[in-house]
Amino acid sequence: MNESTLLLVAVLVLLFPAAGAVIAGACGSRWLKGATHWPVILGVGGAAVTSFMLFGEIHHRLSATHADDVLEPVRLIAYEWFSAAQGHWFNVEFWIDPLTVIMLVTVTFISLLVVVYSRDYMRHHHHPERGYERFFAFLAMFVFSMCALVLGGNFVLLYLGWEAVGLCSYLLIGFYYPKPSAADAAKKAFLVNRIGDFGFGIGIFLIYITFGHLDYHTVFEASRMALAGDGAGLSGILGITASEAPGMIGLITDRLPVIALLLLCGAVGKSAQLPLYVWLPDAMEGPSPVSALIHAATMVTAGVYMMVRCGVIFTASSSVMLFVAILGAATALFAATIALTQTDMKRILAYSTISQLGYMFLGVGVFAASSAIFHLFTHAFFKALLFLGAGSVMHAMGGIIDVRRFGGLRKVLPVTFVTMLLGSAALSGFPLFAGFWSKDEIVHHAFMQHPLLGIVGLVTAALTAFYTFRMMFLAFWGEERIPDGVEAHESGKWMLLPLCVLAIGAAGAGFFGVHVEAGGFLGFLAPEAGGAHAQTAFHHMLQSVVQPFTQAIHNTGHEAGHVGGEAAGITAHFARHWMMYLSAAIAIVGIILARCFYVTRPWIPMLLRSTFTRLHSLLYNKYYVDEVYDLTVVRPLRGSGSVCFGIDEFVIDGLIWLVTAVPRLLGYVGRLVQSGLVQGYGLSMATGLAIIVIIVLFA
Amino acid sequence: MVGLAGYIAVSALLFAIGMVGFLTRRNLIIMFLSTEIMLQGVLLNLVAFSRLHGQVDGQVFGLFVIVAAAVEAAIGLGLIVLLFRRRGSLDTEELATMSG
Repeated sequence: MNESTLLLVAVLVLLFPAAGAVIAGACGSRWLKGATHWPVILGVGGAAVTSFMLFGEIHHRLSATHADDVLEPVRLIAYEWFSAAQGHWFNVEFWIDPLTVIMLVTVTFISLLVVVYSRDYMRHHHHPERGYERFFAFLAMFVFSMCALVLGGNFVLLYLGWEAVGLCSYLLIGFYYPKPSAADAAKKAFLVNRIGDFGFGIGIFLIYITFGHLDYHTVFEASRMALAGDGAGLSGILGITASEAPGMIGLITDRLPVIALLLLCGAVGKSAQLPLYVWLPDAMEGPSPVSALIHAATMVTAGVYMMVRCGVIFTASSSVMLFVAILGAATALFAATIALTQTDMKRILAYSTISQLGYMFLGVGVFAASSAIFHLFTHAFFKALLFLGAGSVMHAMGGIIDVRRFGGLRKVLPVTFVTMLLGSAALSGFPLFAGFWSKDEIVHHAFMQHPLLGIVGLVTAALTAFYTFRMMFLAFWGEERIPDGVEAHESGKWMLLPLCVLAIGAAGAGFFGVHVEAGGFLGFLAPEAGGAHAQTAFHHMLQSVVQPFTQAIHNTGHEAGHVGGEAAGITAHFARHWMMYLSAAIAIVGIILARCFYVTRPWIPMLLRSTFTRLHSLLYNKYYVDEVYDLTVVRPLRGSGSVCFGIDEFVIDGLIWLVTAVPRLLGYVGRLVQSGLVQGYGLSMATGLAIIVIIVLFA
Repeated sequence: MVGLAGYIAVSALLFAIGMVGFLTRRNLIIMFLSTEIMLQGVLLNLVAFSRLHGQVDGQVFGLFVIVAAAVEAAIGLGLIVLLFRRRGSLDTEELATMSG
């Protein structure tokens, strides 16, 4: 494939879902009606096919590159977009590298499955739900926006996609807008994301005033050169004179950590990390396919994508990286503890998503960017699967999703049960399933960076296994309990097919990041270890993308195993496998504990609840974070809003009333003349005539 | 032979009668008739001065005014009939909807 074909394919990736959205939106309500899913399935399917073509091309180029060479990202300019000051143009440009294609393939493939699933999910008794065509149009619009976010070759397009996916998220959370809770959740998601995006926007402005450019190539190259102290290279790339270069190096190195923190602010909002995670659990008010696609598999990972993409900027400061790691670890643990006591199936999964996103942040923070992306990849499969499974349960239970109100659904929903079981195994890190490999890598790298971070990772893993299987045991084990008046039935084939495909992914996606190595896990399977070791397919592909991270870790020399001699390497090797057995054991113990608590000895959780009442209510009420925010942020802001309203109402409107009083007074006097009686008007005319006659006669 | 003063006196008398009628009566039809009388007063004036100056212009103008008055009477009466149908009354006190 040459460059112009590549450009065509990249444009098609965007055009297919865009066309689907336009057709579904324009023709859906009038002509297509119950068939509106077709243009969207075809559009997203087209995007998936073209994404796979891009993937194949990049994979091909990668295998043609020599081992020591770095695969340069493909930069394609579609057209000049608009000009800014100094006569230079912002382009609609694409940046295609392994990270781009991995993200594209993940996004479009999962989207396709979710769209197929929605065909049956958005129907009740074979009749399309109200707003059926609106739903599909938004879904296609989301896929378009997400692809634009991932493909974009500059920060303008990144921001555009970033905000567009936020908009689609808002529209879809509020899909059932007549329901007040859905409307509130949509508003909350939008406003909380505004806080993060405010910082993100300022970060991009700061990039522009520092570099004078917003395209990835210039910004990343200039940062790299400034960090390396390469004045000549910097003056070449930024077009400044050699004498300005030293000052520029100082400026850039000073500002990079600030830029990183501002960009992080955006990532924290979008990827629901502490303290801005509060919108994600509420976002479950949207239909389940939306939760699966947008609020679990794809959009919320945009923050992680962005941080890996801007690796040069983030790795410039080790304290920023440490902050990211601590933030991720804290979020992972925090959200996992909340998930322990929740009873709404989708909320349990929402907190688990926050927790898993915390893992990804932790991975980025400990310089294991390719592991973070690997976890993003595997997580997309099993979390989408779990949400779609929860949707299937909800469908069968007539909209009820509280795990206390049903149970023993194994026989009723056999396919949903088996696929969700596979998804749960992957989420809880059961050996050989997808989540096991990716999570373990992150925990391993966290241990290398700081033992405390690793321990937090392991504790969270144990909690994850526990709460995931708590949910499974409550919903599917025990005696069969179905809410009154509900005719439980397994979902249709349009819903079961995506579940099965995702189940295969949840079971097998991890093997992309594993390679056969003697002495590995179970004797032959070894995960990625980074550095000099043999690389797995997934990590080999990302090698060129995560170079800033590997470079940074080599420079600081934190991971002795990677830079040390043979002996250190062997120690790390053993530590790695010991770690794998440990985390496998932790996952299994978590699952057994959950079984013990919720199947064989149900008195234990009751006893615990009555013993630790306060702890339980603290967790059940999600640490009262929403209440605290309400008290400290929402109410003061609302109060100041009322003050402003009062000023507007009384002071400003009062002044305007005074100004208008003058003409009003004049008008009042004039009104007295207008009696409405014809005789009155006649009399005034006669009087006027008489006056004129008198003037003419006697003047 | 009646002099000019006589014509003007009759003309002024007609105008005054019409005006008083217009200002004092409440019935729209009577008021309308009063305006017609005022118009005739003015017309008489025109014709008298035309005669005085020995020119025919004033009389021609008078004929035009009569035509215009006929047309105006047709329209005015039509409007009054419509108003009566709608309101059931022609009392101007009851028609004071333009009151400010």
